Amino acid sequence: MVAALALYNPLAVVLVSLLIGGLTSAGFALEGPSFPTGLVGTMEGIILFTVLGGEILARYRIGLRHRAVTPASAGANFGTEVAP
Amino acid sequence: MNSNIVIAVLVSAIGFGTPLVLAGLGELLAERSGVLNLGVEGMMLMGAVTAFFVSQKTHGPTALVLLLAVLASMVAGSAMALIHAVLSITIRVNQIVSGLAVTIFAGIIGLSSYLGQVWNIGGVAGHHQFNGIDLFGLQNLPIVGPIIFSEDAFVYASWVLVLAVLYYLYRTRPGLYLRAVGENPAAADAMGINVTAYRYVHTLIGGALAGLGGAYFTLALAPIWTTASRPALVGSQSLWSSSRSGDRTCSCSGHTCSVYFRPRTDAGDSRDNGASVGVLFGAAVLMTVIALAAASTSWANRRVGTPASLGIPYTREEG
Repeated sequence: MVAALALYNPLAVVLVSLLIGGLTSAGFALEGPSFPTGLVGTMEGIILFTVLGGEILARYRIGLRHRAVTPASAGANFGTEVAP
Repeated sequence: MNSNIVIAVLVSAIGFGTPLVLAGLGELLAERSGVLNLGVEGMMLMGAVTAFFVSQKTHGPTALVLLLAVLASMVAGSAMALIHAVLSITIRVNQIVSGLAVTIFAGIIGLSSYLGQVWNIGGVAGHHQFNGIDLFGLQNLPIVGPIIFSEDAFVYASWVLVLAVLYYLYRTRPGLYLRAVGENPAAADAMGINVTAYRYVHTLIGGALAGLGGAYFTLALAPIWTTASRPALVGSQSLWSSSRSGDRTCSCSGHTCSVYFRPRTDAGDSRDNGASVGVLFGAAVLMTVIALAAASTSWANRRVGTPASLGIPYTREEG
């Protein structure tokens, strides 16, 4: 989990583990009537969803593929997606 | 050993096995379509908490309330599965990471626990629950009576579902397409099968079944939502990994047997007989290891094998 959040970068793992560990232990400390326990996991989950999704989407580009252009196929390759 | 103990263990094995059967069937459908779903634990917990909430807060005849609760649990499970599906099928995130993220999000320190607290349903005994039915009037038979013929509707439904899934996978056209999507999505796509739709639908159904499995805990097995009942859920969830290895080998019936005849790890029974809970739990995990090892032999792989494209996002002619 942490490795994925850190985008498999060893140095980033340290930072991310501090973040997640901090969130979790802060959650235990804050736990009480005004702070339901489940919020920590919910927040960690949302962070994971957005970071993972954002990571892929950040590399998502629309590109042109160059081919021998004939009049018939000109323009037909617009919007071809380039795999991340 | 006293035969009463054997009967008690078998009865509770069926009780504790049923949620695993339901969730395992859901996981099976998702994996057959090529989507590895590690978020089942979160989906089960969401199903459990939603079902209990609905059964507590709605008023009416028991049958209606239970039906609503079951439906709500399926919706909750599918909602969690939808997150997983969007992330892993549309955005093509690593399926293992996405599934684990769902487990954290919805799991024991996540949304289900939050909802349980916000809805204020903790620690109160359930108003409605599934009771055992006297099937065919055979309840009083020796030995098999209490084990097989006096379960609740949920258990019988899970048995019917196993057969239905078996029939669906091997005897219907959509089932054939489903297996094609899991084995070779490119070929299936070329055949005109909508790979994305198949994966979405089966991941969502898988989530619904996982939610159903969770609902069994709070509607039949132990109709209460407490901090004490949640470890029970999670304990059974570690065992679920072996039900997943059962899916891997993809034999419905074998899977069900292995789930049903798992030793019971509940503290209540083992305490009386001097057996340590840890030993029983360890035995269950040991069985998982053995099953996984057996499933990974080349002999087993030739016969059953994982869907070839399991865990691989499908991209259509790109790059």
